Amino acid sequence: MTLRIRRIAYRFALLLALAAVVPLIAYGFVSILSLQRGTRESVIAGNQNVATRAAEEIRRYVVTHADLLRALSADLQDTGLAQHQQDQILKNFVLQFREFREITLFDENGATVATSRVGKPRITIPKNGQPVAERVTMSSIHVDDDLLPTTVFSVRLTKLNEPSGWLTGEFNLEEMWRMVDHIRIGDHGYALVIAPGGELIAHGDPDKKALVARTVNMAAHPLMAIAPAQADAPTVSREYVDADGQNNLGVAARIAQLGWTVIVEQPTAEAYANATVLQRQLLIAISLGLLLMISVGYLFGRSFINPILALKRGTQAVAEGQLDTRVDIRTGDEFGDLGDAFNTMADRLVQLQEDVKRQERQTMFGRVAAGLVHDLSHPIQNIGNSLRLLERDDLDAESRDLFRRTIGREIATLKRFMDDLRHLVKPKPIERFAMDVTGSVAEIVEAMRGEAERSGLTVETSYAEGPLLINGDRFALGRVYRNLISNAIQATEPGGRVTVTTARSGDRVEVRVADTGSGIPADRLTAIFDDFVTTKRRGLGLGLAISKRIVEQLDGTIVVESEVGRGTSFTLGFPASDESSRHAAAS
Amino acid sequence: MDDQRRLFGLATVCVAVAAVLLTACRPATGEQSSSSDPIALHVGVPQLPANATNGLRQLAQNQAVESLASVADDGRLRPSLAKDWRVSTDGLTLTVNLRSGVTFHDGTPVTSTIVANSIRQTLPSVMGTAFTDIEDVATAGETQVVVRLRHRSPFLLDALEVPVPKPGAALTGTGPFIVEDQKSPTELKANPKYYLGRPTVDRILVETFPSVRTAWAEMLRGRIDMLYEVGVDELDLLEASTNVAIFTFARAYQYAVVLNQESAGLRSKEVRQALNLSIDRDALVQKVLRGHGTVSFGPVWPHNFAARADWPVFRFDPKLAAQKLAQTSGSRGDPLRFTCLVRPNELDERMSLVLKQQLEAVGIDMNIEEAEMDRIIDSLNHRRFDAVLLESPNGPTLLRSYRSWHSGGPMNAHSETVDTALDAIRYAKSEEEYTKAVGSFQQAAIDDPPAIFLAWVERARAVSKRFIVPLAEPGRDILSTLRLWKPATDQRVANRN
Repeated sequence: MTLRIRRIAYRFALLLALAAVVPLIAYGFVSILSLQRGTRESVIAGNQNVATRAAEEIRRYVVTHADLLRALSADLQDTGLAQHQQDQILKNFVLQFREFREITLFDENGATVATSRVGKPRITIPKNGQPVAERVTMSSIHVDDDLLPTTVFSVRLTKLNEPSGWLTGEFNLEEMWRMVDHIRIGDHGYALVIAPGGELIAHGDPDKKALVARTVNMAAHPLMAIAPAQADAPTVSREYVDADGQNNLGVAARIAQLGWTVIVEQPTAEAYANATVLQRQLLIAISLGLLLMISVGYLFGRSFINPILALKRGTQAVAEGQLDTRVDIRTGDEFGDLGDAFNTMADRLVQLQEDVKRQERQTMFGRVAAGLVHDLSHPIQNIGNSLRLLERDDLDAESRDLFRRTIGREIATLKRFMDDLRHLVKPKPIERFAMDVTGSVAEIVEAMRGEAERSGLTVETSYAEGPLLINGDRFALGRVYRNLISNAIQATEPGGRVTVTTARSGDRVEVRVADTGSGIPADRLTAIFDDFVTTKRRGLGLGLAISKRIVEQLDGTIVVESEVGRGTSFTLGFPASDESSRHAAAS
Repeated sequence: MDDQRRLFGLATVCVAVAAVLLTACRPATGEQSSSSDPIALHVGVPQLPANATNGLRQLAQNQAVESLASVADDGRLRPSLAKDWRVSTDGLTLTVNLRSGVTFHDGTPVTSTIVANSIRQTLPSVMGTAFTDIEDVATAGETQVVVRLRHRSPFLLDALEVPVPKPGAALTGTGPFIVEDQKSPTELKANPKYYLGRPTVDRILVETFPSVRTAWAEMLRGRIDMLYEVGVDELDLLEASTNVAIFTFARAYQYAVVLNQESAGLRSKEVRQALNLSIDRDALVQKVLRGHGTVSFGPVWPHNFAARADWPVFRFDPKLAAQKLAQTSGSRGDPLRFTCLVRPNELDERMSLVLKQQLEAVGIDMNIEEAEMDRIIDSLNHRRFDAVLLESPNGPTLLRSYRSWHSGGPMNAHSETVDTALDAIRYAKSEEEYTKAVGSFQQAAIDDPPAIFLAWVERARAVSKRFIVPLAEPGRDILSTLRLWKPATDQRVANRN
């Protein structure tokens, strides 16, 4: 679909929008991209910082407790303490440091020397521990009797550089959870600690501690694959979807001394919340700016084209004939000049119209006068001639009678002429009665046959059999027939033919008057029924106009067909009357 | 006109796009579904061999067998299976009116005859030596049980908390849940004819675990819906969870070191007073119970209606304790040594170690010896012990205190002063006399302490938020509302059971 902007106001609005808003949108787009990138880098840097510090805190927490156990071993070794005293020290130590669930002192043979437990010790000497501090090793994470991950510190005791036993302490990872719980980013960013084998040691999210209890292996965590192996290596980060389908931003930092990995993860929605808010505000600002620019452009465009619209309306009004229309444009610029020019043009048009009317009136008057002179002069001259001849005494009775008939005929002609004029000024009302068209046509034809024959014409008739009934005005229609036949006689050269037919066509009755005369040029056919239009050299041109008016008053039609040089035919059509009317007419 | 429409259309699209952008972050609403699956509640109970009470059986009895009356936090009684009761003006006859139309789980109607038979069997264990106050238990009509006393005893009213099982079937009662198997009460089903309405939960499936920590781990794993008891160590870790609700309540169970007054070093009242003065109870509650408890200065439940805040109590005063010890040790100056039996669990072990530390500060050497409960009971019965660290029910009623601390009770204490004070409560003729006697009991415990009173332990239960738990009365256990528990609206979660 192609959007076509036809109105100047819209074009202006669009122009302004494109000119002002496109740069705005481009700026907004660049700003948003920059904001997103900047925020992401800033958040990642912050989270990396947190992860690094968290890793360091956890390392320090573990190593400090390993050191504490080593310090305890120094208190127990070579101090001459009795077994019950060592026992008491261990008990006090466990009370002091809840992180140790149990501490037991073993001799080189693995026999219990002293223990913090009231009953029998639960822990044994771990094997293959990982060194976490001087002489202190930490066992790999294993699951205890309660199916929770746990680990054991062991301090190698020596006497005179010879191995002399072990001090072992069960390190309470649940106590470490409390510390991990305090590592928070935002409201939903938590830390988790993963052992080298992928065992989850701690999770800061209270609802995810279940993962620790379920001994879930986190080796497949998206960050574990890319976590740095070296402590001084930079932290790594990535975004990923977790098992709950939540998008997270995670940062991993390795505690090389322990082999643990600290992951700090935060839902991206929260991590980028500030950027999202800023982005939303920017979008709103751009949208408002866009709407404002479009509105301003539209209003400016409207004010710009108002004079044009006024001129357009004025032009349309003038075109519709309202020549008194004027425009009021007071902009003081070119539009104002254009408005003044329009008003001047309208004044001139009014003047020209008056001139044209005057000329038309003069032409019409001349034509009417000429027509009157022509139509009246011939009968008057005949009457005058006949009267002068009648005054002669040498006229025989036959000639006298001829001249008297001539006078009577010419007076009748004058009377018809006067009737036509009267009918034009004040048409006679139509009085409808059932009538036989063929009969009325035949009467007129027979009345005019003599005139036709005097003009050297042959009159042919073809009437329908039986009566053709219509509801018509016999006298008005007689005038119509007489007009048409008279026109045919006048238009036909001697030797020509005038044909009059009546016929029934469906529910209509038709009367056709055709001649073999000169015909009417096609460009004048449409105007022949107008007042004062004639193809004849003389006459007012009222006959056909009056005839058409009468026919239409009787719900009839009049159709003309003509060909120059071959003749003209007029066909009248009337609705046929019903059977009852037929009977009425017959009676 | 078409262009105008197109432009407006374009503007509308712009606005719509902007609206979509602005509302893009709206969270989707979760759908809900319903199911007609039975609602099951999985309960994890730590089944400690050293526990004085069997958690599994206690839970089953609590839900299956009702008492004539339940005890409120202040030690007063509320009607339960008994509609009401009336004490005659001479105080020698108690008439209990039973609820009508109630049946046992097997369909047997609850009649006065059955109830009388039932409490005849259970009252001796509930009242202990005070049972001798009862002359007989008779019936009056179908719904009245009449208890006649030899002399006045307010303890009889306290004893109305006696459970009323059907005779011959200890776990067949009138409660909201029915125990499926009397020998192994691990499954309870809803009592469809419970007179207060059928419980919403259809089944309770109880699983036992060897330790509080194991049960807690199972709760973390989401395999159980309710943790019967949350250890003080784990309480903080669970409290932050959004999936689990923690309900704590002050339980009338008291940590105390029962002292054998016949033991050589502990015969002297001054020594026992010195022991009580040596204990920094606030530190004890903080270090051992992580603050989930209330210090205890005597044997009376502090919320009991007769308890008074201005009573004399044992304050932490190591100097005074040392003086008293010095007075009693005489010229020999031998430090006091005794052995304390301790149950084999982490909390008791830690409690005993802290006690040992605090006593050592005043020169007392308390040797700690781990002992199973059977041995402890045997030692108490035969008075072959110096001291025993126990957590025992000492409230909310004074009847429980009487049973614990009167001669012949399970603690096997022998203090004439304390016995006299307790008897004064037992035979009190009015509430005023009763209150005064309770005060005397507190004073007696100060003058001639039968134990080192330590702390009232706060108990916690954890319930998955898959269930909606109506709050119980202040201070009461949420299990009292178990029949009203219902799954949370989100059926998808609730039906994971």
